[in-house]
Amino acid sequence: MSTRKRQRSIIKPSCQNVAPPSVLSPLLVEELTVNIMSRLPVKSINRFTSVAKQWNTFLSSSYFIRYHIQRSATSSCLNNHRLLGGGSYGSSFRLSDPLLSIIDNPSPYPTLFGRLLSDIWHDPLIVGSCNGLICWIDYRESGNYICYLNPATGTKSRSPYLRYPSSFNSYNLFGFGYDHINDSYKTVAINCDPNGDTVDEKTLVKVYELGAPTTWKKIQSFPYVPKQSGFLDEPCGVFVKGTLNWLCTRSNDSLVVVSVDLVNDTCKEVSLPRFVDTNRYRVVARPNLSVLGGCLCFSYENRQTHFVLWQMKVYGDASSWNVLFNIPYKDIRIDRNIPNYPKPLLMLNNGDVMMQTSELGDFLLYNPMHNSFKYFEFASGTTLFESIVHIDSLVSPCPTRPHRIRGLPCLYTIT
Amino acid sequence: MAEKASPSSNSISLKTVDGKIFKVSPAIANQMLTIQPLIKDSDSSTIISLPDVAAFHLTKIIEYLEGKPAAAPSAVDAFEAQFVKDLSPEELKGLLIAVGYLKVNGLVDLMANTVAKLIENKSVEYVRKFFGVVNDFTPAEEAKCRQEHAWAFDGVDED
Repeated sequence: MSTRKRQRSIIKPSCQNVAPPSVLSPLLVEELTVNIMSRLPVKSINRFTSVAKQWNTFLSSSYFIRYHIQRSATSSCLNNHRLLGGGSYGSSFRLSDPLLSIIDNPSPYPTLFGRLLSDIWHDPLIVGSCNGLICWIDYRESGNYICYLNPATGTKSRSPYLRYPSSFNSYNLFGFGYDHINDSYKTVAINCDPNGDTVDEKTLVKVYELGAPTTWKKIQSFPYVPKQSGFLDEPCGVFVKGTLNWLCTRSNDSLVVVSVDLVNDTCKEVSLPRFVDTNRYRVVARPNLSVLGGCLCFSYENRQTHFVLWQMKVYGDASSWNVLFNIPYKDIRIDRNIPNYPKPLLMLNNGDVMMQTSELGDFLLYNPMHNSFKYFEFASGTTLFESIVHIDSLVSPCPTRPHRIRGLPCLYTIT
Repeated sequence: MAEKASPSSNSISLKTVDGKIFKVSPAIANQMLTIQPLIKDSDSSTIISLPDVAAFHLTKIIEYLEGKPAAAPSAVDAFEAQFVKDLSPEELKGLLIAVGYLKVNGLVDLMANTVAKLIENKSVEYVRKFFGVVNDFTPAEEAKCRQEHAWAFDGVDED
């Protein structure tokens, strides 16, 4: 603010030559350097930690790590965005090349996934990817540990033992997200027992904060039953603005979104669009939650012929639901017999919505404003896969005790 | 605000470090946030000196501020690509600093992105030289740091 004073004092009516306060301050150069660094891929940043001591300290600081995520997540150029695939069909999980090169690359049959993340894990359930951390469960080892991995830095960690009742009909749902107030990552585990006598006995919800000295903590009240998909893996929580969201049924069987607030570990209802008859499943078939453009989305099948997607512009405000699009299946070229598709993945800056349309590697860029369709097909090898969006980051999966995986970080080289 | 007070013909005089004087419209000058407060109080006889900006950089900045609004929305990317296309690394750096100093709308992002693209695959030595950073690691410390991030040294461009 002293600079402003200086400017004022320079400008006197008689003075004809004025100059903004000078000169190249080291601060300006530093500010510009940080600005540039925040735009680099993780690999370059890791390399440049060897430039000088101050660079090393700064590039490893939590301030810079958060700044870098923020820039990557909002950047229009998608050079840190990748698709993470696998999981649902017994395949190991894989990361694609940056989406920028995939979308810009007009090559007719590009290989989607560069390299396996690891050869040692099979049948993982991917719970979610948030700020560069992948949260997954290795059922082969034990479903009682949740694993965390940052594939860009090759660091991983594991949750404490998760104890939950396992009765014959019970099933588990998981979600992974970020508490932006406390800068911490949380995993939510929901155990559902449809045979429980009261709605309170039907669900047990526990939360674990990554890196915290405490173990799984029970959430006091969760009087809902999450919707069962009927498939092998139950739907994972959808992360939006500090909350994890699941479609649940009320005691009267109507549909509602239940949101777990990761800041204070409480849950509340979020209403679905009131124009949608959520009391009758037949009308709202195949309901699903997703995130596009940072907003919660609710999609369903209409009359077995159309795919309808609503977007909640203001999270938690039921009056802000609006239809983003309503498109015939024939335009998105999907097979209705495979019920998981289309799967909305990402909204680009130009309004294009990227969707996966089959487990074989068919994708679509659909622009609701121009009603334009652009189809992609990726060679995925022999594996079937389901993908989610992953953004490279420098976030450590274990703030205090990182474990490096030997040989992992070569995922950037295509084999 | 400044434009309202002065007639539209009123242009702003900017003097670069190498002594050249540029006359620009208030609309152009106002997009250089650093000099905005000076424009408000200036009249036609005022000359604003820019001690850190060379004529070459100011020419480029004016070219950008005049050219970008003239480009069709779909042609902005092409215009920006063309704008930075023939700049050498040294020119890029000089322009980045001038743009950062003047806080030119939109151009800070373009320059930072361009420099990021330039150095993305470069070696540590290149980056030290480019930013004028002195290596204060001992050889042992540097070797350890490089070892920790060994994978990040694959596929680095020749300097």
